[in-house]
Amino acid sequence: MAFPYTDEETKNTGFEKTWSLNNGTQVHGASYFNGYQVVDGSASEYWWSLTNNVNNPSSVVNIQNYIVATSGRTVTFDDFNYVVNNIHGNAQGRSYYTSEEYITRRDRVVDKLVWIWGSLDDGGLVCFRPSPSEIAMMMIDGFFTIPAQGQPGDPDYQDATYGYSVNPVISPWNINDHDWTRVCWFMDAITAESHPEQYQFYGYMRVGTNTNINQKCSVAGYATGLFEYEVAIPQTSMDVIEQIGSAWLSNIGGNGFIFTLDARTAFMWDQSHDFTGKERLSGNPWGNKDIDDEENPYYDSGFNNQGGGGASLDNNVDTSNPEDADIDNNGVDVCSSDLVLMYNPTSAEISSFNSFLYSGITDSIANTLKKLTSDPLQYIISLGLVHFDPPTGVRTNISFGGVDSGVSALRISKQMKSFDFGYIDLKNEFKSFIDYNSRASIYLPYIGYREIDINEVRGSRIRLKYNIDMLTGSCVAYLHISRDSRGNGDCRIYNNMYFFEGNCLLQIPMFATDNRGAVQALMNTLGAGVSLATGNVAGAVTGAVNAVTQQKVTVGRAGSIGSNYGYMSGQEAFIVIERPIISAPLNFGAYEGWTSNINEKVANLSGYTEIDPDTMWSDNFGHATDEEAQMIKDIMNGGVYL
Amino acid sequence: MQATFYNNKSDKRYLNKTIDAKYSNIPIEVLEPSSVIRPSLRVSSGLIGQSVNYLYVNELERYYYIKDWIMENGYIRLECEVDVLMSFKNAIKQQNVIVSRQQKKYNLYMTDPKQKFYNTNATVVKEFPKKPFSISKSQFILCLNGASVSNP
Repeated sequence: MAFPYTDEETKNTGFEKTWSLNNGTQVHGASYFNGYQVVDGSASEYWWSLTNNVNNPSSVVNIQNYIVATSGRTVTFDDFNYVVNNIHGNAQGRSYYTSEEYITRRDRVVDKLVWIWGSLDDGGLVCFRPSPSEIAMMMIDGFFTIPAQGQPGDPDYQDATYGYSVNPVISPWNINDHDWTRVCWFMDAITAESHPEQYQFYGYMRVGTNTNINQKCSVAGYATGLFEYEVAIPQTSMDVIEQIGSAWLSNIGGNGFIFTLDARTAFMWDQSHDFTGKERLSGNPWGNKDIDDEENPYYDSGFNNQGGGGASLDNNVDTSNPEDADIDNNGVDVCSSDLVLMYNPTSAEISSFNSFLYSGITDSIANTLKKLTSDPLQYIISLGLVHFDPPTGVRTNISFGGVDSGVSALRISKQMKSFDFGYIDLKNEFKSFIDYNSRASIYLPYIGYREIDINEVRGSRIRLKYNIDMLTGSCVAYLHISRDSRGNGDCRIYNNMYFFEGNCLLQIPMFATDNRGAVQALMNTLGAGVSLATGNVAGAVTGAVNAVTQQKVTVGRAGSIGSNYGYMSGQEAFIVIERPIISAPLNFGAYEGWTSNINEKVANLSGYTEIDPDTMWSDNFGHATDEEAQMIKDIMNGGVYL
Repeated sequence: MQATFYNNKSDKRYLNKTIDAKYSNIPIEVLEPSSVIRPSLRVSSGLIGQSVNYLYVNELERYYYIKDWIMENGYIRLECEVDVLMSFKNAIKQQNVIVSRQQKKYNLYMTDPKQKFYNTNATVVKEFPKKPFSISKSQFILCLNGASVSNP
């Protein structure tokens, strides 16, 4: 299969295409070349940016592939000892390795740093591994060559196969987030040592997304030279913390290659920060010195974790790890059979199909349809509208009952599809009871507002996914909630805590009888009295504090909004937190103290202190009279300065 | 009896007072009847000045606030009240207690009845970052029965 574009088509321009790979996978991408010809391999530098996603075109994957070729087609190089800021030959380009680390103060995450190193403003390759001196070894590691067969020009000429090592595939697996960061860098190099002309290219690729996780994607690029190859990239010998996938490089022919990443792959994890020239892109390594004062009335020089009652929040999160409800890999569905045929037609294709129904059914077709049912319309299950991109496969003619309508449309490839809304970290803003003296609700498209327990979601990472049945439009929104005792949402336990059901398909009646039924169904719903989703107040607040949240009238923000109503409602999910606004004067702790519940020797305390009088024993006051002992207790209970 | 007179600069709620000694070993007379908690003391006028408001009586081993200063018959009658914190501070310091409020060692997750709040709430909205649904995106889904004729 020839590479899908030529230099005339793409030179200095961008393009957008959808093409099929030889394995039937479709790739939709947009790319452009930096104004160089590519066919003859004479380019000295070219790179492209590719945006594609195999399964979900709505997700943006930005892939920047820097392919560097030394001048001409003849290359010699005698070492692989690339070090930071060193330039080999005419190599130009940039690549980065980023990592993130959290800065904590007093057990609280106050900032996040993004480090970058290996940035080469004037070109060269970058160190990805702990020691630059290991580059040589890594570059060589995994290399293999299969010599060319015959001579160029011979009919049976087989170009050499060039092996290489992927050096290394960097996983942006963030140990703190326990999730993939957006950018994945990897570098590969191909040599042609055994090729008589010894041309080579090396490149590095940056794969990033605008979302939090890698999407399944493919990259199609172009490399200089006329070689073809297909090789499985071996894993390197480096320490692998977490390696759950692999990368494949295959040539689709025509001097191109495809680098495929699995969406759920984390390749390797490297926490080494030993690179030279490391720069900080963001964050303050010391944390924001004002962050504790910033409208947080609780800033003080105290030690919250010594305040008794168990220093850490015992959040009682179930540490079991139930099966992920993600339905993407649910196996067999109706799409794998011909019993139900699902399509994703355009408006024009619907019109064409409609025309076929009314005027395109010949007697022969009608006889075919009537083999199973006397009413051909019974073959039409449903037509509906959705506000998302269903998973589609190949394009084919719309068929039903063994009849080809002649109208082309994309076939829906999977009945069940999971849609990821990403996650929200609902951190403890005040690290106080205020965080939990709040009310939380969530707006879910096609479902409406639902109350969620603030005690479960506060200090947690809340990940939202939808499982959708393309056939019926039924959807289930489920929340993964995870956190550790510090409330940072970085534990690796995911619990499916909430499930909400709805329907996201706007039914379109195709015929009169169908229309009457649909309208009547809606009227019945209305007649039943749609109640406001008021939700329930989560728990009760003891004490006299903050009557605001609890005493005020609960207002429903939406009714039931499934199906047709949901189609006309908001399509973005969000969490609403109602919390009290505290009024605390400066240095409140010095005047009134803060809540505490510790057993401590008085000599170890300083500052304002109130003591439970029942815990002071009169016989320990030396020569004090009974009245004096009581006076001591009363004063200590009322507040003293130690 | 003798007493040392001080100028006390600390609030009564301080366990350890900041006191400046002014007059030491001043002879005093405890007027009867007097309690050890609220004694009446007499001092010859001229021995102490008005700058004192606090004293320590050696024989009683206690510190006292001077609550009132009364001039009578050439003497100064002092109405005093014991400072139990200062008098027994060493014993108090050795006690293990349950602390209910503290300036420096605290846990804010416990409900605080002393906090005051506005009579309104703050509403915070946090969007999920990914948006697979979009109001501007409309896709048809057509479902049909029966075998396909053209294979994918």
